[in-house]
Amino acid sequence: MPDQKHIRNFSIVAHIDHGKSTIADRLLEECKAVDSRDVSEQMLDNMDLEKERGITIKSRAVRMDYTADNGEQYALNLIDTPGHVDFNYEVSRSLASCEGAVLVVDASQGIEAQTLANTYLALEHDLEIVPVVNKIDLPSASPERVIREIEDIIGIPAEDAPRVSAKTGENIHDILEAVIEKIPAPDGDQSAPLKALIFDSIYDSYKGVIVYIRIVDGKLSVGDQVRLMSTGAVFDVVEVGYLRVFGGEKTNTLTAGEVGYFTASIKSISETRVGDTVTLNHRPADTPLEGYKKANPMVFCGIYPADGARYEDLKEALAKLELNDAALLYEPETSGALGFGFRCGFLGLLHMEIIQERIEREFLIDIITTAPSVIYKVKLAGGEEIEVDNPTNYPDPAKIVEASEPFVKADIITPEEYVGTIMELCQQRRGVYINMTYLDTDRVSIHYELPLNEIIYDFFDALKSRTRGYASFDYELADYRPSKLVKLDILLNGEVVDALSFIVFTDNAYTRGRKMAEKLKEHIPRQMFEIPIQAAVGSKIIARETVKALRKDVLAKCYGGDITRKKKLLEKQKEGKKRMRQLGSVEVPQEAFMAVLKLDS
Amino acid sequence: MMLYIHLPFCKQKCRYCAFCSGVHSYETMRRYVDRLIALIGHHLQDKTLRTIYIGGGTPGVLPLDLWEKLLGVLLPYTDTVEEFTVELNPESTTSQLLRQLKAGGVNRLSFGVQSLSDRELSAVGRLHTADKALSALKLAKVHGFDNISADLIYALPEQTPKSFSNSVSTLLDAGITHLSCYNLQLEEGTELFERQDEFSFPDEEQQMEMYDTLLRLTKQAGFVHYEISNFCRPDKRALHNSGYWTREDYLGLGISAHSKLGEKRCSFAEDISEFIDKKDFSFDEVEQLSESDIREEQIMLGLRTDSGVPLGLVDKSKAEHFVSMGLGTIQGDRFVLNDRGFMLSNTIIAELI
Repeated sequence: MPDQKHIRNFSIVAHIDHGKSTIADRLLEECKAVDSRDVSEQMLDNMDLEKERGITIKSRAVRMDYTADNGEQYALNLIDTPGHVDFNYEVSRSLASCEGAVLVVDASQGIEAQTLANTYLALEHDLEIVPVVNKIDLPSASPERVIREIEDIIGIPAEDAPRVSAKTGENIHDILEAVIEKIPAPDGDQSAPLKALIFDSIYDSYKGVIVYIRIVDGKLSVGDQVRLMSTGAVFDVVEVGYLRVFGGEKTNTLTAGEVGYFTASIKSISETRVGDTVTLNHRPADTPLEGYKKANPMVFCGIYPADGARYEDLKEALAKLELNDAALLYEPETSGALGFGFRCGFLGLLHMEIIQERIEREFLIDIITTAPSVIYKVKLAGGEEIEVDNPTNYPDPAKIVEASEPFVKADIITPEEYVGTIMELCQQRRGVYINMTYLDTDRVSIHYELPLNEIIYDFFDALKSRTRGYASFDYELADYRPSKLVKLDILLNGEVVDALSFIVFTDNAYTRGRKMAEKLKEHIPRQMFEIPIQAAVGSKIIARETVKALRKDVLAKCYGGDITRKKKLLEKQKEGKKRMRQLGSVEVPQEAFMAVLKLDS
Repeated sequence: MMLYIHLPFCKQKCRYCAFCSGVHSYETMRRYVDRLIALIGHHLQDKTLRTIYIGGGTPGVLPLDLWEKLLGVLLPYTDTVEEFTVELNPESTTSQLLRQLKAGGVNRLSFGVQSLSDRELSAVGRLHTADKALSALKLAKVHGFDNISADLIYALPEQTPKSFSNSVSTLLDAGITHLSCYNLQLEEGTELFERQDEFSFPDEEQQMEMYDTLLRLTKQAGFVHYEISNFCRPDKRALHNSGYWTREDYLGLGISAHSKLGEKRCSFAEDISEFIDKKDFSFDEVEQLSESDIREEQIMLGLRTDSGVPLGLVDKSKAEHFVSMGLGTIQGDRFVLNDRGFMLSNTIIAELI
């Protein structure tokens, strides 16, 4: 067990693609925590999805043993943070477990919106920032420019920042030396009552929840009875240990300053909320660590099995996902159009997409999702105030005194040349311009306040395509503001399709209704009768398209008695029908539900 | 039992054609016919035949000496044959050939006319003109053929409702007894499919107008619409083709030819040299039909015709739904599609199988 002087706890902060995971892998290699031949893939990102998207969804942590140039042995705890705004709270808890952060910036691309957001978060936690310039092997690398950018924008000295290439391994050693030299050792009180911060937890079907903790004060041993301070729940500690690349390494005691895990036969991660404080039941700390809050979903959508018979499978999948994702909310709901499914709540758009993809990939269930919605606050005539996260439940306009919607503060960092198009996009999305600052001669940071409702559809895609991928974007919830909102309904053959209803800013209702109708017309195949598609606000029809009746669908000829070929064609057609949703008399392909979510693409 | 023989020979491939056919040397054709004769000997033996149909390709391309050989082998079976059809193209119709076919027991000719507009014919790469087609029909009559069918295609490039109407009425006036009229299908791999952007096709409205014209003119001429694409004088239904739709047994010989033997569907592969060189008489593919296959076939084939399907085979409420939409009728215990229903038969059949 090292003394606190020989412990360093740090995270890596970086924008997507700037090489965080590769650097982490190189650090593990350098400390011989893994053989280089094991580093065929990035070690810290465990989920397939994380590998594919190159992002960290959940925090991970690993302890490395390092012999420094001064000949002394150090225990380095690298606590990986999710890189995305949706997981901001988890990021903040990971950072709270550290004394320092390695800031990785791409030598050619410079600082991005996400980097900045997480760096500020690290600074808020009084973390020592160790800047590192990566990808110096690239022909377009301009490390000196990026170093100036770090100094100008973040305001920390960066002249002696390690210039490295995680790809070639060049100068990786310098990062470790900088970590030891610059990041302070923890200074917890070993004899004080236990205070440990939960920064992550995962569910294991044999051991129950494995709780990742940073011991701030005191110590935690096998056999201790611990109490979680927010809930008061008490557990007997079964196992404690250090976090290693390939699992835990058991030990007897974790002491102040250390990072590790414990298990205590805990059944559900909903009991071990990230940010909570662990203390001893019989010798509790007076006050918990600061900053605990429950993560609240901001974005909601309906998730339905494409095949109604798989409702139970979907339920089981959500239950399994929830085991490791305390932020995921779900409850059963019924749609006239889509049958039985679930209303699900997510931290943000990425979180939503990740859950949807995991259901389809890991559980092999085809799903249909409804348009994402935010939570609207509605004051009713009787003085009552309700929250609406499902357009179907939006009250009759006559009963509404005032409706408000959530706004976010958005920070968009972009090369100067795209400022015009970005401002145009933000105006279209009802953005309120705040200000714009130059990061250097050709890059700016634009600040807008935007209704969350306007960015949950396709804002990312639109931003990407308008700036050829050069702009980066970050947001945080600001407040609720009164707004003119209406519920827009879509009618097929005269009947409202509940799964397609959504809440929209009044002035945009006409445009959006028209686009929805056009998009649906593209996706609904002609059927044996004419199908009117209408968009309506209340009883007023604001847009109409018609899918003309199919008049001809015939196979002219059997080829010289070749019945098989014809039979196969008809069977294919029949299979196609199975993938359709029957809405009244109209058959709607599942793609249609998804297509209307991407109106501008 | 019915016999189909496939002669996959052409002078030139038509732009829309997805059939198994091509241009071949005399030597290949000779060896192909020899192979057919061997297969006939093996598979037919003492079976009795009700119909024979020789199709292609362009059977008229086969040299006369090879015709003589082939017809000679078939002659002993013709005693019981009620209908013996050969497909002909106008440009390869000669007096010698007609004489030989007549002598061989052929009693029905099916002409690939496709259109009587020279503009449309050349657009799809046909080798004959409208005049040539009409004179071939006349020649056939001169040689004593009184059961003559013609094929037409609608939705051809350059075709208009008017030109199509002209093709139909001229053909009917020329004294045909049977008309097969197919909606052009753009099949992948055909020249027309690959080059479709270079042509202008009639739109759906125009195609529907053509279909209506077809229904009107054939009705005026006293023809019955007895299958989706087939019309005839009341006593001239194609027996052979009708057998396909009623699921009679048939033996199909030649490359890509299909057979139905009991509840087995069998076929030969498409490669001509493999076919010629094969050392045994077996089929290249054999599929045993399941109960549900049989039911599906009964529905999809039955609904192509004016006999329809027994109500017992389908979901009666669905059938009644289609009746209420004006797409068919219930006749006794059978569900039968009408002219509008025929046009939507894929959708309807997919719903019922």
